[in-house]
Amino acid sequence: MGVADDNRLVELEGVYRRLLPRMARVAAAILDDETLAVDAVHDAFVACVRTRQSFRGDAPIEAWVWRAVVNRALRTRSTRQRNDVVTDPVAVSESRVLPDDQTASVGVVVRLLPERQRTVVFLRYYADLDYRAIAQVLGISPGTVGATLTQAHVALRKALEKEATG
Amino acid sequence: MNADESRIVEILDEIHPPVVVRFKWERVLSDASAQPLGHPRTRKLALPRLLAVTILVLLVVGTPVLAVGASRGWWFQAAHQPRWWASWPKPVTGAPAIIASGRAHGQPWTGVAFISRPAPASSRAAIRGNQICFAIILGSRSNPPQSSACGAVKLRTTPRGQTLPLLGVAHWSIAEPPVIAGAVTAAATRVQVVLNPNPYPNGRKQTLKPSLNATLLARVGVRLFVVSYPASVGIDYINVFDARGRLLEHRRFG
Repeated sequence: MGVADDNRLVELEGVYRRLLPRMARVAAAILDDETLAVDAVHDAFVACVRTRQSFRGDAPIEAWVWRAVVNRALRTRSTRQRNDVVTDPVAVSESRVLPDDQTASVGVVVRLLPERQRTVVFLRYYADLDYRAIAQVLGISPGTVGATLTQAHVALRKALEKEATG
Repeated sequence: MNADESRIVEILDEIHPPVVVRFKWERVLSDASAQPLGHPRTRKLALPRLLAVTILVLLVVGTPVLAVGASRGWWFQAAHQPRWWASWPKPVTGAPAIIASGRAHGQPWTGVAFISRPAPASSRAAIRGNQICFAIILGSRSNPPQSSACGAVKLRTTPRGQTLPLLGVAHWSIAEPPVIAGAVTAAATRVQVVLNPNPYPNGRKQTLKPSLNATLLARVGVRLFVVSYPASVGIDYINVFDARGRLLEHRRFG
């Protein structure tokens, strides 16, 4: 470990201080749970610090960290969904209070979007990333990002129209 | 951005408002075992630290479970609890007993047991009297449990009047390796967990014999057991015996 390694640590700290709130918000949107989200982002940064020597530098370090955060949140989500098998399970229902019917309706549609569309929407609107940056995070082309976002917009617009026409 | 898109952005803001976060870079570094910049690297500490971690791992893995959890920092003690936590069972008093821990998919998990109040009448699992509950928590123990299972803390009896000592079982398939934990009454002294690889390797059944451990929960006459098993198999049945070797209960699964 030398100067380059220390520089990378400085860069990671910069990303942490600059992007932590946005990363936590995207993780919270993916997980629908702020506590798990904060842990997921923390774990992602821990992993990035540990593996910083493997960062090749062929994309901005922000994209590398974003990818770690998104992957960690998605993995946590899939772990939670797998859940465990129990005998005599206690029924647990999740309820969220949403401000109005339209918000609730769009909220449901957002939750039902395919995973990639959801992730692209969150990275676009909560992380404020452009198509190129989203493409770097998800390892897809900017064109695919555009097409995915368009599909998500169509679904969300339909939800809005449906709610407006009652 | 057109009107629809503006409205979508507005609604997205309402669905997931910004998250209030505390910056803990030092903790990131310590969890990653990296040194913060400006601090001299302390190679001399590496060996003692490694030894300490090794001893800790040996204690966690080698000690047959059952440390009683510290009393603060659990999910049910959080000052601000989401509404949907309300329906989760909570300990009547004190802290849950930690009965197992490990890592699954890169994160730590903790399996706990505790005595809880009766389930609300609206619950599918409404039980009269207190319940013994198992829960698994991923990450920090302040996180709400990923799942929970509860059974009655009382002797069950067969139509012939025979008592059944197996109070409840939780099967944690997400753990690596998977874990089964359960509670039995004080009348039980031995438990067999028989696996069902379907078919059994070499045509032989595999039987696990977890030890039974008393915890603070013992004040209600409960003993806990926990044992891990290979991921590729399931649980066929559990046998519970008394001190004289008599079979008290044979519970089949799946």
